[in-house]
Amino acid sequence: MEEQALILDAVHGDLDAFNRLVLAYQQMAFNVAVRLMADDDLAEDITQTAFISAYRNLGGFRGGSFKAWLMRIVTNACYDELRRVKRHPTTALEPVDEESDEEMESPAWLADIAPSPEEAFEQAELEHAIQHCLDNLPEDFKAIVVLVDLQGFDYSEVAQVVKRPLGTIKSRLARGRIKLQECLRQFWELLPAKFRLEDKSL
Amino acid sequence: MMNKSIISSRQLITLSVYLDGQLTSTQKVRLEQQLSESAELRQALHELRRMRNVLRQLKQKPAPRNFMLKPDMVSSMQRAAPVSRWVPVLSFGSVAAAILMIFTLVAGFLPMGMRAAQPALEYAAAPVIEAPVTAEEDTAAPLPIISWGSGDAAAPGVVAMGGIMATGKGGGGGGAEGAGGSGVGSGGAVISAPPAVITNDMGVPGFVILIPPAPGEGVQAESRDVQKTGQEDNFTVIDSGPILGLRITEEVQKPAEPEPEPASKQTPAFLLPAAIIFGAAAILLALSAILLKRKP
Repeated sequence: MEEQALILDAVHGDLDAFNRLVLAYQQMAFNVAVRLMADDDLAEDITQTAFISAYRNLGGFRGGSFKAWLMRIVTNACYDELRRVKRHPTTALEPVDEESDEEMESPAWLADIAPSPEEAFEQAELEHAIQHCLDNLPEDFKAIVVLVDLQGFDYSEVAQVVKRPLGTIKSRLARGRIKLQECLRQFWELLPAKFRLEDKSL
Repeated sequence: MMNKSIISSRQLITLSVYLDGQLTSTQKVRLEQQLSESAELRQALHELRRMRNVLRQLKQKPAPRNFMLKPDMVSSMQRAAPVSRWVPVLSFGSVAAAILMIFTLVAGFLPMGMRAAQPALEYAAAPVIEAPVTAEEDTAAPLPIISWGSGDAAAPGVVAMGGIMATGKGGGGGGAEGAGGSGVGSGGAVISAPPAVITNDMGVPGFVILIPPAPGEGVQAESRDVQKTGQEDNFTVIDSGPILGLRITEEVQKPAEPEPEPASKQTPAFLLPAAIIFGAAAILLALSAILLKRKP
C-alpha cells in the first residue's frame, strides 16, 4: 500500500518518493544487471540508466507489480547493451604465448581470485562457476533463471518482466536449469564440499 | 546421473514446476505417484533440486553505490508526462479513419480512372480492330477481292473470298464464322473484306484482327490453303496483284465512337463526402491525441 502511495507521489514529480523506491529496489536491480552482463561496472551504469529511465517513464506504469515493471526496464537495458556489444565487439586482452603465438587460455571463472579467507574463497569459486555457466545460456533463458532462482520471482512476475506466457516461462526455466546443471557438472568437484554431497535420503 | 532417454522433456518441465510448487493438486498427485514408481525420475528431481540450491547459495552483491536520483539529474532531463489513456484510443481512431478515407478514395476514383483509360485503349487498338458490321451492310457494299498468285484473275489460285468472310494470316480457324458462310482460312490468306460479324462458339460477336502480311508472305500462300466461301458471283476481281482490295490504312484505322457510360457505372455520389468526412475525422483525432500527449 505504501509502495502505491510512493508511486503516485513520484508520478506527480515527488523525487523523494521515487528515491525511496530506488532504495528499495537498487540492490535487486544491480544484481539482475550483474548476472545478465557479467560485469560489475557495466551493471552499475545500466542500473543508474534504468532508474533514470523509470523516473522518466513512470507515467506509463499501468499498475500491477512495480517490481516486475522496474526489472523489465533493467533487463531491457541489459539486452540493449548486449546488442551494442555484439555490434561493436572489442578485442579481448588475453595474454599471448610467445612460443606458439596463441592466446593463453584463461577462463574468466578461474581468473581474479584474490587470496581471501576460506569462505570467501569458496564463494568466489562458486560465483565464478555459476556466472560462467550463466553466460553460456541463451539470453531469454538466462533472464528467467536469474529472476526465478537468484532473485526469487514467481512465474507470473517473470512473465510480466519478459513479456512471455506462463507456459513459455515454465518451459524455458526447466530447459535453462537443465543446461545450467550440465554445465555445472564439469565444475562439480571444484565446488565447495557442501554442494557436492549427495542427498542420502534418495 | 539423469537418463535422458527415459525421462522426457515434458517430465523435466513438470519436475521443474513441481520444484517451485507451481503444480496444481491433480498434477502434483500424479507426479508424486510417478516419483514413487520411478527411480530415474527421483534422481532427476534430486539433481534439479541440488542445482537450484547451489544457485540460491549465491549471495546478493551489495549495490556499489547509491543510485538515488539527484535534483540536478532530474532537471537536466525532460521527463515524460503521464500519458492519458485516451491517447492510444485517439491514435488508433485516427489511423482507422485515415485508412477508411484511403479505401473510400480508392473505391470511388480508381474505377473512374480505369473507365477513363478504356477509350484510350480502344484508340490504341483501332489499327488492328474494326467495329463489327452486319451481314446486310456487307452484301450491299462493293466487295473487295483478294487475289494473289498469277496475273490471271480467273486462273487457278486466284481466290475470291466471301464478301463477309474474314481470313487470317497463318490460320483463320478457331471457328470464326462469317455471315455469308464459314470462313476458314489458312496459310498466307490476307484479310480484305469489310469486317463481318464474327461469332465465336458462344455466338457472341467478336472482332476481326487484321494483320498485314509480311512482304511476300501472302504471295507464297497456296490456293489449296484457302477455302472458298460465299457466292462467287458477288465478287469482282480488282486486280491480280499480290494483295489487292485491302482498304487503305485511313479507312481501317477509323476508331469506333466510344459509347456513353451507363448510369450504373457512375461513381456513387456519397463516396466523395464520405472520404472528406473520414479525412477530417483522421485529422481531428490525430490533433486531439497530440494535444492530450503534450498536456502536462
